[in-house]
Amino acid sequence: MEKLKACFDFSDLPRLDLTIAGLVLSALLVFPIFPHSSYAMSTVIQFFMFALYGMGWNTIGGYGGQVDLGLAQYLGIGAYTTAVSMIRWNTPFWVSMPIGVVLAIIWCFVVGYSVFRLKGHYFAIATIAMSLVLKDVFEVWKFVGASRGLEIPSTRFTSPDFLHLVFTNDTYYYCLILAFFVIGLLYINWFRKSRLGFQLRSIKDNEEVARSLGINVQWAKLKTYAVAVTFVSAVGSFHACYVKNIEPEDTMSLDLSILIALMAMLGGAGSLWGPIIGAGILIPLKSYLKEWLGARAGLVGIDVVIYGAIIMFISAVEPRGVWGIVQRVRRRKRA
Amino acid sequence: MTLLDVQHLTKSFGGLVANKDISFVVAQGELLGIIGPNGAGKTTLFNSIAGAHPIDSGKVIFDGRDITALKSHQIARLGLTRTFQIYAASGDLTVKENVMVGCFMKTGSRSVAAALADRILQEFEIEHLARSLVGELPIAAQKRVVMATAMGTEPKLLLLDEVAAGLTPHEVDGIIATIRFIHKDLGVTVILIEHVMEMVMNVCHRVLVLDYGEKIAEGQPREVVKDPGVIKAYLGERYAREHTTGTPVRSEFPKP
Ligand SMILES: Nc1ncnc2c1ncn2[C@@H]1O[C@H](COP(=O)(O)OP(=O)(O)OP(=O)(O)O)[C@@H](O)[C@H]1O
Ligand SMILES: [Mg+2]
Repeated sequence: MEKLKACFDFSDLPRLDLTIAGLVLSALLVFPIFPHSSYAMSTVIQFFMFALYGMGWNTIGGYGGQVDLGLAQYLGIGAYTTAVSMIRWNTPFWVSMPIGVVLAIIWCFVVGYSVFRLKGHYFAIATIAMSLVLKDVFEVWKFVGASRGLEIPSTRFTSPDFLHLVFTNDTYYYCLILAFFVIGLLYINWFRKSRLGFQLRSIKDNEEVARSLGINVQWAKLKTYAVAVTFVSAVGSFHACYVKNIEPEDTMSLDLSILIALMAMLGGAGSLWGPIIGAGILIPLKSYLKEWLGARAGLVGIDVVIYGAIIMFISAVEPRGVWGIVQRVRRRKRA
Repeated sequence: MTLLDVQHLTKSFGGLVANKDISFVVAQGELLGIIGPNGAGKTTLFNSIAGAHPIDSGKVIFDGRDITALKSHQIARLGLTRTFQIYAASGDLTVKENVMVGCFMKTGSRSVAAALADRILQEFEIEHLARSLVGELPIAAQKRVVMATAMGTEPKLLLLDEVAAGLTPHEVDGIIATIRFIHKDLGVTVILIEHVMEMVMNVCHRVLVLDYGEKIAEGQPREVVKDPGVIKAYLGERYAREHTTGTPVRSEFPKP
């Protein structure tokens, strides 16, 4: 009960933040009512998905300071669990999604047990390596369609199918992912003020000191990793139903892992709003880059170049991203 | 009653023996000082006791329990908390949040931890700093935050590593008052490493002197400073002369 109340307790944040957040959320709520292109709709859905991936990354990467560049592997686990079980056994999304989460958590303990002993760059590289190994397995694994991937036969279901999330009208997907988004945000709001949230910030600061305060560093990281992959895997399952066509390349690639990390890093790692701001900037940018510069001007791969530039920019100017700049301006005003 | 019993503790780094066959006991309610020249192995001794690294041989018994093989977080949970000599507190957390990290050791509830942190901040007279970032405070206040955080874990035994280093005499007086408060009012047994002799002389019941990893003396502060071996190894002739002739020695003693 105390936990539930804490989810809704935003009282430590400035009123201005909450006003802006409220306005943005209201705008997003009424967005489908107004006329819009399907391009805009898919961009907003992607925004929610990536904000959620970013929130997941932010737990371990932002609050915990463990820069993971392999989270896409859990997106793949979620997406493939849902796709495979839907195609082979007609399993409803609401069953396959939790199963995907459980598989993702089991796998994250395997990965985490070995990589969390590493520090800094070694940790980041190890997460990349584990992720690429898993992707390679999926590329050759016949059961999951190998490199050609899987296609969910949407004709088998009649839209709107709320059990299997097969809709011809994207507004349904929109409402669903919006609900996920709100739940995710409330959860993170609890998480950041929970015991684990405090322990993580202590670990990020200095592991030696964290240990001296009775914190089991390895276990705290593993628990947080489980939280992170729950976010990513659950939304990965949604991704499968929404896109209906999945391959290892677009569910587990390094590009995707980096993009997930960038959401929080650009917006502000270790802050509540960070991943949302990051997704708000990067997803429209990504659509634009892919659609216009990539497809029309023939600048294939330009998006990756831009992400690289953003990473360099963040590390040079403000490691805490856009939110860090906002905080700095605020501090200066108060002083 | 014996709270801590260190038996023949040895720890070496490669060829360097940083703690050599050290034995001592600390009774419940005692306030023990550890002094010695730079590199004598004082911090290493804290690390060895608190489980920060495995030791080569020997035994550490805390509160009737063999903690030699335990990890540092397990030892902390048994009620033995230590602070660090070099610990620049993070710029990320506020003072209250720092203290809450300590409080969360005993409780999973945020409201309980917050209430305990508020009480500790008050006791340490830093409640007005609750919302400041620790990294932005002066050193003296940071040290107080570090001690307050350690007290959040409600330890039975507190190990303080040079909490008075780099402070002005006035600030040292403040830290002394805080340590007395922790010891007397909160009833915590304390071991402190210190170069500031004034602090050792005025505060400690008993002093242990380390040199080149070995325990070279142990006893009441007044007697230990007269020990020729200690004077030779650590204090120097000047301290002994000034001390016995009653000239006040206030400032941090020059490190040999
Ligand atoms: N992790 C380590 N690896 C290798 N050598 C170490 C390590 N820690 C300490 N030492 C060495 O052990 C010896 C004792 O160091 P220690 O830090 O315990 O001294 P100290 O008495 O605390 O000194 P100070 O008064 O300067 O704090 C030193 O020679 C130091 O260089
Ligand atoms: Mg030392």
